[in-house]
Amino acid sequence: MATAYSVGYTKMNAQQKTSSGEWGGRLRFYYDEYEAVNLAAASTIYMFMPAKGMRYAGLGQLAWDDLSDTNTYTLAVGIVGATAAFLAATDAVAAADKADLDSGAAAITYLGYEFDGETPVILTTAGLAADATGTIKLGMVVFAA
Amino acid sequence: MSTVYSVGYTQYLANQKVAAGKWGARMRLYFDEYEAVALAAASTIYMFIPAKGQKYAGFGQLAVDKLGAAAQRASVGVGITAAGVAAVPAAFLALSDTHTAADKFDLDAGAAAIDYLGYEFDGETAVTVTTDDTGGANTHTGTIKLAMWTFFV
Repeated sequence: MATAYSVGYTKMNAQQKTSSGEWGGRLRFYYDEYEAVNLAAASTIYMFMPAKGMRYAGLGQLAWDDLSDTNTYTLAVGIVGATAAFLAATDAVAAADKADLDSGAAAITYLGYEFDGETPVILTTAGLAADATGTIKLGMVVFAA
Repeated sequence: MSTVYSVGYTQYLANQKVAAGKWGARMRLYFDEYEAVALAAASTIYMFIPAKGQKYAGFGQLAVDKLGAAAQRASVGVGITAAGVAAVPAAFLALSDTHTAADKFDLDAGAAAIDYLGYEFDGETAVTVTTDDTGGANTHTGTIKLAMWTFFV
């Protein structure tokens, strides 16, 4: 058996200051909504732009109306270049519902992901028909020093 | 394919200020507990009143002791009620089984999330826990704790 220490714990042991953005970071919440009216099947919805230095806390929620009659209509949450960073494509057909954000295997990359103030959080839609109509809401928890 | 923008993003692109209550809002946690002692089967427990302007962030947790005997069908839901307004006892959590063992439930508005994510409290609306014993009259005994995250400007 071994005893090991995290990055911050190692600093504490060395009597160095641990970043207040990591131990005791303050929480902020980003929230916005979009009203879809016959939205094209493969679309990008820009939701919000977290400020520079904000870091993803691993929590968030996507809620939607019954958006489409298309059997394959999906929503994903991410950033440009990683459209499913926070939530893989999720079925949004036939009924209103919600999904908690979940990076899955990519959580090791995105838990603590630091925004640069120029990277928007986006929704990506996919499906066979351009008929998505209804409200979409997204909330995301971030932390900062 | 199209590219579209949320309400706040549209303001951002127009060089308008996005409400701080939407982008970068502060968070609060509401927490309280209730010690049930032979509480009537179908009861309403008033837990807390979020301040005016607080908005539901979509997260929270209900923790319960084993509230009744295994033969019961005890359950709890989390919702809202206010004077002069129809109560929505399962707005944040549908009735959930509490007769088998102590347990916890993450709040989940399910199909109603589109209504309750971002729901704004008016300072007069209470968050409630509703108990039930489907088809029975058995009472509930044990501790119930509820925590709920909100956001605001």
